[in-house]
Amino acid sequence: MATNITIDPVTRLEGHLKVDVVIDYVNGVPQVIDAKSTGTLFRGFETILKNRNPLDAPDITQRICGVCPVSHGMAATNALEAAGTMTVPANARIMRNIVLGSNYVQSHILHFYHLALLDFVDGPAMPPWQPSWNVDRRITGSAATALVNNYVTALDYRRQAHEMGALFGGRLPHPPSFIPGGFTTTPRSARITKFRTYIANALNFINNTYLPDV
Amino acid sequence: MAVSRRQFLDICKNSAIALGISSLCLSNVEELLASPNAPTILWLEGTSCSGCSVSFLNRISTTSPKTAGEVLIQTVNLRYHPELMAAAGNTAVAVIADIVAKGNYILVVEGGVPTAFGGATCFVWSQNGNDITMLTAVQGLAKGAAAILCIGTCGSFGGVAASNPNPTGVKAVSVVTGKPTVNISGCPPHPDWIVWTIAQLLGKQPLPLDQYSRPTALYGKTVHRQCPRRETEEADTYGQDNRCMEELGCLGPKTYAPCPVTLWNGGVNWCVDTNSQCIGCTQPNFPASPLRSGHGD
Repeated sequence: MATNITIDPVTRLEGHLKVDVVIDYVNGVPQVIDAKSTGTLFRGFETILKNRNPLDAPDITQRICGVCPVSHGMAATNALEAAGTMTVPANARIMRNIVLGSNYVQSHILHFYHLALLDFVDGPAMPPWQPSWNVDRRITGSAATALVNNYVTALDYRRQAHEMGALFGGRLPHPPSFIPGGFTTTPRSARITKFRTYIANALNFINNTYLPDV
Repeated sequence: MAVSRRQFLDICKNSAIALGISSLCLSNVEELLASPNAPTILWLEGTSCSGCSVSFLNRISTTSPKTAGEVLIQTVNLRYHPELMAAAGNTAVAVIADIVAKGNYILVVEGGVPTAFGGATCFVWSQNGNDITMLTAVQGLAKGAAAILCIGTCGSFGGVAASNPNPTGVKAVSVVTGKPTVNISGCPPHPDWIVWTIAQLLGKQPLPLDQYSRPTALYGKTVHRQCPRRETEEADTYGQDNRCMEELGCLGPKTYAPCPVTLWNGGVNWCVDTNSQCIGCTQPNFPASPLRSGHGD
């Protein structure tokens, strides 16, 4: 006889998600025979963007997601430039990529340590990590303890990735610096120096902690 | 970890100093947090992008506890948070029932509340096979809340999802619940503003609010009034350092927020210092079009 499982809310993600799974025996073996996932939030960004000043688009679309806003801002900026056949100065292109890349790093750290990891290990012994989600506790003992310690360490490196991007982007999340045709600011030497320090720290964490943990 | 309550006081005091708030009294916070009767925090997300939660995680102070991680581990009792909590599904829904049964909780709302289509554009969980809308959830949970704190412009005023033509009928939390809220507006708000206000609520400290229910200690002055570029030569295009952005449509003169004082992301930058306009993200009409209305080149 089929078993229906509903997980709603699915937590530790950006957005609202519900998952329904049907499990039944096929040739005597229990298997997932049907599954559907439902995004349970609709805001209508396309409708909101209609009839607005085109320059609003990079700022509005970033609000689709507070974890990956820069990707949306970049896409909107690229779309406006394609529509207006604009070319982008090299410094603007580089600074956009630096802000996008910095956010990409924070997003990866957040995803692995703070969103996904608690599927596999038991977190700190207090809310919001308790009650735990004990359905696939495949890592235990000292390996789990090390990962939970790195959960806390990773919060710092995730934050620093945002600081690194904000050096040029202005602030994160939701940097105000993406404009069609360019970027609001020019690179200043003091900020380039600070960025180099941040990226050296980030690389150290990624190579020596994040990659081995993943 | 044993000194966590003391450390939390430090974080609050440092926030106060950074914000230029000299009259802050935190004497009760320590007792409150040390008490098993300290309020729990129930954090809901409606039409949000989670950017407010991500901004909260950017908390950094010069003395311990320095980070949002330390605040979470050592201090506040955050029992329900859609991004951070380990539990999901029925286990998570049971946490809400338990919080309600015990009472004495602060309801934090990130995101606005859709009211069109019977609220069916935002479901927050299922209970006994029924999909629960954000509208139903927030109206129900507001009844037993010791306080309601809106974190971000969406919960405070409607925000991005409520902007013209507001396709899903998004309304502010105070409108759909009929209850007063404390509003920490911003898209996103700065982590210092969030931590400081939660400390004030936990400590039952006086929290004077402006006409939009925002703490006057944070939102009492315009960005322009506090801006280091005020009354400097005006920029006529982007990319000009240290010039006033008013000609390019800076909304700093109409926007109440302490950004020029708190700065952003550990103090490395802020919107105007990257030669952008202030786009007015703490104001009730954000994001009215056009966001960048300058008549410069």
